[in-house]
Amino acid sequence: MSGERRKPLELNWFLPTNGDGHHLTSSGLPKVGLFQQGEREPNLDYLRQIVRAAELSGFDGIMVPTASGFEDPWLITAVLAQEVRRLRFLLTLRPGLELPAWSAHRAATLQLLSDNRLDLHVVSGSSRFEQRSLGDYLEHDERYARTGEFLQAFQAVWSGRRQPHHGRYYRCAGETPIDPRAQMPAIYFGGASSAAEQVGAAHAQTCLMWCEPPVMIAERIQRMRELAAVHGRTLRFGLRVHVFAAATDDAAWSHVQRLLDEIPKDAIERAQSQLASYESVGQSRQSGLVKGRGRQARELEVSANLWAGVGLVRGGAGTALVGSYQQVVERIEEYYQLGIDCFILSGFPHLEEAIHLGAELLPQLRRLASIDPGQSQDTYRS
Amino acid sequence: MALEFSWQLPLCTPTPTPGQWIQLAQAVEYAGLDGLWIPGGAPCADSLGVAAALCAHTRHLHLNVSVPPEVVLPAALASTLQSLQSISANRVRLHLPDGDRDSLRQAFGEWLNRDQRNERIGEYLEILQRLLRGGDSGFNFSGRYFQLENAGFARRPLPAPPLILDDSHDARLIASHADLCLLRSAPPAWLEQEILRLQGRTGFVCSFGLILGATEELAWEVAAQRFPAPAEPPASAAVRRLARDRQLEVHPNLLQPGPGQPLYLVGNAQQIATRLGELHGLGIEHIVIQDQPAVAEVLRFGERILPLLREQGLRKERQRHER
Repeated sequence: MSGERRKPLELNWFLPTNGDGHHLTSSGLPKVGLFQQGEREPNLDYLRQIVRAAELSGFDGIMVPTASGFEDPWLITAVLAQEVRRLRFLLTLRPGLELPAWSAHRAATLQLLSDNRLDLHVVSGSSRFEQRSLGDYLEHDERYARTGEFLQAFQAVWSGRRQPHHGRYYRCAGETPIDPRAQMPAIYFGGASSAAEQVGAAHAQTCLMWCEPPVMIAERIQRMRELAAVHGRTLRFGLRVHVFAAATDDAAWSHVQRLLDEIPKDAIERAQSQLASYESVGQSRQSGLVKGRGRQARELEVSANLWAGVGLVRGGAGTALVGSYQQVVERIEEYYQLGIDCFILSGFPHLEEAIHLGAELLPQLRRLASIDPGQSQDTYRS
Repeated sequence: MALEFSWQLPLCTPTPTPGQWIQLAQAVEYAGLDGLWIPGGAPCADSLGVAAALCAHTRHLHLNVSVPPEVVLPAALASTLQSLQSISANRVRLHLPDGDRDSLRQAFGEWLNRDQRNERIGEYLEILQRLLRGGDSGFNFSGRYFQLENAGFARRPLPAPPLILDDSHDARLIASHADLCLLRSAPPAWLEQEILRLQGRTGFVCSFGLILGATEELAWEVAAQRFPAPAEPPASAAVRRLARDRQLEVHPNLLQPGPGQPLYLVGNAQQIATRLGELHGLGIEHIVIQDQPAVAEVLRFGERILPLLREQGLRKERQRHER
């Protein structure tokens, strides 16, 4: 049965709230401070240009990340939502730092301030080092258990259930009325460990993954669908990936070769040893992609047009689609056929690349999304 | 010491609308007042989100942001405030309301007793201030309620926002942490006592409602409509009306609708300016105008009262095009 039509592809951009620039180390963590020249502060005058570019380019939304030293995602979303009219904001939220009823209350205010353009991306933490600096001592698996309870409480508050919540991590009196004009944000969820998958299967609407080769993504989709089915639920899936696209694949590959060449070998080693301390399964899957490979750009191509070189120096999303516009569109189509409905793309710098990819890539991707879904459904379901 | 004014945003009404907040904020800036008072807590919209949104619509107003400390870890609040300083170009002041004063705890889920809360807020303030004021890069803290390791490792070099505590907070906490103390709205005799009790390193803020009339009589007529007097007035027409209208006047030009309720400044522009001068003389340096969400009132205040205060030398000269 392939009666239900698949919703159009959701294409989002990324907001670099701890700095930006042309280099692989310009945004994200760890900050190694290699290229001070031309690095851009994440100030309001810069970030407002990025959201405007993303909106004008035709992206559906923009992911707002969080980590220590980044602009606060709630605040930067509140102020940037004033700049654009259509763009949605996918706000990254870490349960554990604030009470779920207050998060619900903040989200409701943001819905009023943005005309209901807020969605939430729930991540359960980063490294033990960062969690403890914030006063959070829960270990990895317990953090996910807490996230599960957080989402339950959050949804209960939103739906106006008035009975008190008495859980292992939170107690709420259930008396925080949510403005009826505020729509419940959609819940996107990150996490690749089995503890994460259990919680995601039970509570998320969209599961986000850092991009891996198609065969690995297919396997994760399969497993998550089975876990969700236990709860009688279905899930959407999303991929977070960087893009280096150019008119020809040669041009794209020599660009990433240059980005790689400018990074000193010891900077890669320093970054890798920091990343090894994150107790994140998703991170170790990303880092695993580069293990045992050479340091030439094409030696880091882990599947067709999928390049793991970003992960040499950047935590989190460490893979990029590299190639001609046509090739990148084809790869995205492949993931779409596997069941990916949502992409969160980025490129360096995020301002110029939002404009560039908006012009060269998005029109083709929009055509892709209008392919007759009946045709793709079988592959997608198998 | 000049006298500053903030206007309170109506975030706690049942159906708040962002367009009205923005309009009011822009009127407050245009009318030459100094800041906005952005209340926080259970029935109100999220003060931090509203403050951030208003950074897109205002340029130099102070943003006095009230945040209930019970709902967020101190290190998380510190990094949020650093971000708000960055977004607003250092316009933030932080008010941490005393959780005992209202139903915050019940709404968001907190069940400590008074002594525990006092101890907890003490730890909270210590962590928050160390993170906001900087100095140490990465410290450890081991308290009864909070434990942190390498706190502040990602701190940014931004100025700490001034801190406002309530007069109902522990006096030692006020002395050691607060830049300003928010006095509950009360008659001047009471305020004078309270200022004597807390005098030391802190300045004082107090909030009042405002009923400004073209004439004294018109102001009291409006006041009487809003706050009908409870008891029957004495006989005889005109005298009766005047007596009834001013029954709730607890001090010249100050109306208190009921016991324990916030006071309203009532009168013509000259009277209100005089009363503000008196409050300033007691040691109050910052007045919050509350419960008055009308743009027309903001402009009237800016055009009719501020010039009188300027004549009295109570206003700091603000440079034009100040950022």
